[in-house]
Amino acid sequence: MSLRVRGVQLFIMLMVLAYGQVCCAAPKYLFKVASVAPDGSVWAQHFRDFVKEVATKSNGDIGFRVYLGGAMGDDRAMYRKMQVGQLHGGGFTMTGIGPVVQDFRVMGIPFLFNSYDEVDQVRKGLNGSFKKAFAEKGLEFLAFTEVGFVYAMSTSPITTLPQLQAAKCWLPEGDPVSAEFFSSIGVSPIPLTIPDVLTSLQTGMINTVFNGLYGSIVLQWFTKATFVTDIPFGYAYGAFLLDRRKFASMPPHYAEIVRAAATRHFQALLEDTRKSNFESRDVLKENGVAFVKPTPDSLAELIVGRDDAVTRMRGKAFSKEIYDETIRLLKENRQ
Amino acid sequence: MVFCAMFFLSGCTSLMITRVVSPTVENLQKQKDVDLVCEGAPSFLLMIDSMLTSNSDDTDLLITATQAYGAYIAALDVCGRKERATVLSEKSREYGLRLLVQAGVCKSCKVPVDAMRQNLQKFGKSDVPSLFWGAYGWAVWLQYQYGSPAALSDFLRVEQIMLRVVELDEGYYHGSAHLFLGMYYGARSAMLGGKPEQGKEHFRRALELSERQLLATHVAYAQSYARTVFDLDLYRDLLHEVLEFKLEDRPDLYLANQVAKRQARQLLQEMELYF
Repeated sequence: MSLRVRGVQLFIMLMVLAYGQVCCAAPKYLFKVASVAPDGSVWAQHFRDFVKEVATKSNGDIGFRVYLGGAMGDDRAMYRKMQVGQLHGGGFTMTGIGPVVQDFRVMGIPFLFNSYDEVDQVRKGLNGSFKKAFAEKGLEFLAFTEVGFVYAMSTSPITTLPQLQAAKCWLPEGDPVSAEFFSSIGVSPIPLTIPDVLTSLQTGMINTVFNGLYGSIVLQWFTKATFVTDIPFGYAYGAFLLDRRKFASMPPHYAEIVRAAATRHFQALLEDTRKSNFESRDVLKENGVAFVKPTPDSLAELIVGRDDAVTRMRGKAFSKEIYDETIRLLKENRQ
Repeated sequence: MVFCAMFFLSGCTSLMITRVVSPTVENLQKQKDVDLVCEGAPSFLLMIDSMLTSNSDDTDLLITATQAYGAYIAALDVCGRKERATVLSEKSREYGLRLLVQAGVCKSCKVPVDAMRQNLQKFGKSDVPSLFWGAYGWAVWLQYQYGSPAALSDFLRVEQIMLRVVELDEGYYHGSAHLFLGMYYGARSAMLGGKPEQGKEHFRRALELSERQLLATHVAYAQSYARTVFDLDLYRDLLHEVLEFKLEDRPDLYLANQVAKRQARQLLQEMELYF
C-alpha cells in the first residue's frame, strides 16, 4: 500500500494548487462569468490573478464566480445567458461575439497582419472604437485576448492554391469572414463544430484545418494534420466582456479598480499566449510536424481573393468605417 | 556494511529497500500525524536520492523514489509548503523517465505517439509497476508545467502508457490508471478536446476497483468530470461520501484518505464558485 497509494492522489492535489483560492466573503458586487478556457489553463490562471487583485483592492466588495471549461456552453450560449441575467460576463472569441458586435470581426480578415507588432498597433488604435461598439450593445469591453496567428494545417503538404482548392477544408461555424474568403478563392469548406474536427480528421472527412500553433497542440489536431503552411492565414482573438449595466452599478472608483486590474492581467495573459505559440513551433517540429512554405504565386492569388472578399464583406460583416480605420493604422505602421 | 557496499552493492540496495525503505513508506501511510510526515519525509527522500546515486538503474529503488517524491509533493499543500512542488517535481520526472527508459518503453521519450503505442504492445503484466510508476512520475512533473506546449504533447505519451496499464492490469493500485485517465479525459469539455463521458467511465471503474475506499478517486471525479459537465448533484454526492467515510476502515490508506477528506471539505466550501 504505502506511499504509493497516497501518491495517486497527487493528480488531485496538483489541480487544487493550480486552481487556487480566489475570494470568498460575500461580495457586494458579484459577477458571474464564464469561459470555454479550461481550469488550469493560462487564461484561468491569469483570470484568478485578476480576481484576487480586484478582491483585495475592493476589500472583498467585488467578487467573481467563474465557470470554466465551457460549463456554461459556447460563446453564443454564454451571451444568451448574459441577456437573461444568468451570467454577467465572460471570455468570448471573435467568432462567438462577432454577430453581436460586427465591427469586432475586422481584425480577422485573412492575411491582414504580417507580425504581432502590426497586430498590437492596430489593436491599440481600434480600442476606442471597439469599446464604443460594445458599449452600444450593453457590454463593457475590458480586455483583448488572443489565440494568435492561425495557420493552415493539413494531412499532406499545401503550398499552392490548387492544392488548397482540392483539399477538404474545415470551416469554423459562425465565421462569415472566413466563409466569404473561401468562396472567393474557390474552396468549398465543410462546417463543423470544434469537437467534431479531430474525429473528422481521423476519418478523412476533412484533411485541412485552421488553428494557432498552440491551439493545434491543445486540441491534439497536430497528431493528424502534420503539415503546416508556414504563413499566418489569419489572426484569432477575443474579448473579456462584462454586462455594462451591472458594471455601472458599482461606484466609479470600483469600476476603475476592475479596469486597471484587467489591463494588467490580460496583458500578462497575452504575453503568455504568445510565448506558448512561440514554443509550440519547436514542439510541433519535435513531434514530426513539417512546416512548408506557400509559393509566391499562390500567395499573391490568395491576397487577390482576400481583397475580392473584403469588397463584398464591407458594410455587411463589418462596417466600412472600421475597415478603413484598420487599413489606415496598418499603413501608418508600415511606413 | 562497507564490505557489502563494495562487493554486493545491488544486493545490498535491495536489502535496504525490502527491510528499511518499504516498511518506512508503509508506516508513513498509516501515520495519523500529518505534521510528523511533513517533517520526516525530506530525510527519507534524501536517503533515497543518495542510494540512487550509486544504483541509478535499480528498478525497485526507482519505483520507491517515484512513489515517495509523488507522495511528498502531494502532501506539500497540507504541509504548507506548496511552493516547493515545482522544483521537487523535477526529481519525479527524472526517476519516472529513468524507469521508462530502463523498461524499454522509450529512449528519449520523445518518440512519436503512434510508435510508442506500438512499442507498448510488447510489454506484459509483469511490466506494469515500471510502466505505471514511470508514467506517474512523468505526469507529476507535467502537471506543474501548467499547460506548456511541450507538456501537453508529452501527456499524449503518458496517456498511451496508462491505457496499456489498463489493458494489462486495470486493478493495479486500486485502479489508479483509470483514475489518471478519468482526470485526463474528464477535466476538459469536448469543445476543448476533452472526452468527459469517457472520463466518467474511467472514474466509475476506478471507484469499483478501489471498492470506493480510495477517497482520492471521489475527489478527482468531483473536481474534474462533475465540474466540467456542471453536475452539482454528483459533485455533492461524491464529496459527502468522502466526508462520511470512516478512516479507521482502511488503516493502510489512513493518510491518503485523511488528505482527501480535507480536500473534499474545501471543495464543498468553494462549491458556489463553480456551480
